[in-house]
Amino acid sequence: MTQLTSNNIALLLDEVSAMVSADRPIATGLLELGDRSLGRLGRTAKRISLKLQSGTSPDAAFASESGKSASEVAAAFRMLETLGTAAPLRCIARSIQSRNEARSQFIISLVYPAITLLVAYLVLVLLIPWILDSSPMEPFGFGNTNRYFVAAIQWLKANVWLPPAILAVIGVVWVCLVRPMFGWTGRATMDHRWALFCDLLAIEVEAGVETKLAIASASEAAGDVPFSRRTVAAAESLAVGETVAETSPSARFLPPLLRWSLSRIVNGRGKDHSLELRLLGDWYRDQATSRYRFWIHWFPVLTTVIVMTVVVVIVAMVTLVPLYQMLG
Amino acid sequence: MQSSSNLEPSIEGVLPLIASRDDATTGLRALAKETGGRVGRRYRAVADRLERGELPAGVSSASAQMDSVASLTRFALLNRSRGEARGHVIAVSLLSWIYLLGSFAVGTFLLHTAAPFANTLVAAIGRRDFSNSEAENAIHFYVGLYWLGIALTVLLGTLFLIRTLARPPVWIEWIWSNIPVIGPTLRAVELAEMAESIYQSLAAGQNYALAFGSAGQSSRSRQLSRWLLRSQQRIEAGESLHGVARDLPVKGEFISGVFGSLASNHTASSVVDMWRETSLRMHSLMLRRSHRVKTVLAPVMVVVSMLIACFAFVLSLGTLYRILELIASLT
Repeated sequence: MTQLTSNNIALLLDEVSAMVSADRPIATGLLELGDRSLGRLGRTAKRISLKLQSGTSPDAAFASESGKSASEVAAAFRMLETLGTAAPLRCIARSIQSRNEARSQFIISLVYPAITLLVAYLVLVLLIPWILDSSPMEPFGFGNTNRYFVAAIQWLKANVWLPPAILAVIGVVWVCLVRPMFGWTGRATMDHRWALFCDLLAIEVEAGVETKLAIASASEAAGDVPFSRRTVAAAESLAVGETVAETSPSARFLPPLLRWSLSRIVNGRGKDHSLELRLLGDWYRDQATSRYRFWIHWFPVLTTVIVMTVVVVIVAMVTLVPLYQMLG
Repeated sequence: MQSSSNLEPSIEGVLPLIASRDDATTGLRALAKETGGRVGRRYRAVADRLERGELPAGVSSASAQMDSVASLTRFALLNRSRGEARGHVIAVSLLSWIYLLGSFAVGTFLLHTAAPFANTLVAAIGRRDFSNSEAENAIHFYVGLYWLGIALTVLLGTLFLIRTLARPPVWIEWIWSNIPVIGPTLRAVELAEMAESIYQSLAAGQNYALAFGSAGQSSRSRQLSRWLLRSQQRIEAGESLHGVARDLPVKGEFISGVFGSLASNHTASSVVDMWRETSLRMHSLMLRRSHRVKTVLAPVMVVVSMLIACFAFVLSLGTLYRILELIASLT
């Protein structure tokens, strides 16, 4: 049984939230959705509908089809049952979409330089040998003055697969060894979790759920069990009067702004907590994007400039410099 | 890319919206830790000044619609988006300038190096008629053209530096605001900054005159700043907002429509709400435009620069090949 892609999960959750808002039974709605949709989404919708009709609870039915997002989807359905509003489903769908968008932007930012590199490489192995071969300078001993470049180009032409193979090895080493050493991917994931936590907590605070329970269920929906346990422990340490500046290691698990906000919420200070939590959700989503902003915005541009400059210099060195040397 | 000169007045603007001095320092320190870098250090510096009592705080207004955390988070989000939009424009303009200057420099070098060969070699083989040919004239014409390109690019760079580093004269602002793609984005950044400043002042319980005054002092645009300060005087002299809005120096933008609708009577809280909404809309417009700068201008400038350099390359190589063919035919 193939599981849904994260994009399909987001789509399905959006559809279900619309059904709940319109007071339509989920099982019937999913069956209709299954008839209307082609492919994996349609088949999964029908399967979930059958499970619901056979008496499986919605959280279990949806979680079994949601792959990596199973825990957050199940928690969102439990919140739906408790609060009676579809907002948590929309929140999870939005969070999944935002993570997917970030991932695809990152991949695109690597694809663009890869295409540039390919074009540059083709220029080196196809265009330059052609220029050298079709040059009208052969009778004048062209090639003696730039023999190193010509030799390098000839070598490249003879070993055309070697540089791409070296690049592929570097890529594999990067993905397997170097990338896990950089913390930014992990930090971005945590930022997405905090954003979802803030959004879900805002919904629960607005619905009047008791703060401690709200923190527990929102953290459970936003992450895994250890994440939830540590968040609840951090909130408890803030509730016993720890200040934001001098906190215990457990409270330091929370990012500073959220720690400040939670200390006010658990101690009953301030007003309109749902608004501030929503804004904090936006803030952490933005933080997540800002972690790889350089890669998305500037890496493709800078790579293109560097690669193109190198190609232009090589072409100039191979064709013009020997000419000038010979004629001069 | 956030400049320190325009960051601090904005923080000062948001301080009255925070309930107490303690809240403000705690929030700013938390924000400093999360933001990091230069902007984070600025937040920490303002928190230090607050603690030393050098800045006023805790003047929470009854008309403030948001709590301390919300006010500070909103401020940080919008401040970062403005910094990012300005950063896009600056970085893309700088890169475009480097591409252009580089391609003109390479082109001029190639043409300059090719030109003497035409003279000397043609003279050496005794074909004077070739030296007067179209090819040689064309090379000299293009050498001049490329030098003109370098001069214009350097001039643009100087204007860009003035526009970026200081509050520029109105005529430089006019030139930049009329450059396609970049001009509208810079204008949107300035208007977003103005709308946010006016919102902060109104939310803190100030009247329009004071709001316009503080927005005028913090605005980077000389043109907008002059209008805001003049408007402050006119409002204090009793003129209506409608009359003031008619002279808004930026026409055809979303904000001019907002001024038109605000001229009618509204309650204080609805005016604050409208400005909050206006500020958010201006920021989203600004982000859309800055995104366009990055996605449209950067690739276009790479292509244009490549074409400029390639044209000179092909021209000089073609001339040299023609000379070599000529020599080969003679020998």
